[in-house]
Amino acid sequence: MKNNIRELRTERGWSQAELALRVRVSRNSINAVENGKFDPSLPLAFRIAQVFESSIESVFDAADIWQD
Amino acid sequence: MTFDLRWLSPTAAFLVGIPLLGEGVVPPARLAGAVLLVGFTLWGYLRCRKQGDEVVRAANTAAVALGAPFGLGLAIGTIFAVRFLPGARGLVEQAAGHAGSIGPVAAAFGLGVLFTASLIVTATSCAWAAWWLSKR
Repeated sequence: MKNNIRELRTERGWSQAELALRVRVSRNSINAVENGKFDPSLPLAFRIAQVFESSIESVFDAADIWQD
Repeated sequence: MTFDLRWLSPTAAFLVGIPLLGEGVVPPARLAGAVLLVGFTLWGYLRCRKQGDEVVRAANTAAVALGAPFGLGLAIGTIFAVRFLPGARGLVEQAAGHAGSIGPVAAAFGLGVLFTASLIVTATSCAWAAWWLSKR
């Protein structure tokens, strides 16, 4: 799933490690989600959106969820 | 890639514990020790597998689902192949001949278990690394 995590993160000057600390996951996990290689669960998606003080829709792009 | 080293303690306990259960230990104590050792090792690995965030757990699950059957199949195939390779068979018989008090059959069985376990661990580790590489 596409997302805007990299843009939101760099806007705030956070590294992947810093975001991982805030979301309480490993840096590798943030990297996998940020690159769109791993679709997070709903709780993790909410946590990521909350640390950016944004809605889920503004962090994750749901345009391609119907494509199989 | 972050290397999770929590699996080291059950592995170390298994490798150190096996020789301690050899010569000079009475059979009931050996059996109890073996049960405790295998139990601790399994508990340690299961504990490692369930820890971490959801991405780490997905990596662990995929590694076990892909690596364990592959390692087990490879080990079983190799053990069957050894029966038809005179050189390899002689090597196993030679190792079993140094068994001491536990007997050659038990020693050969132990070697097979250790060989199988090491192939499963190796295949699982490779699958784990490949999973993380595919997510970079």
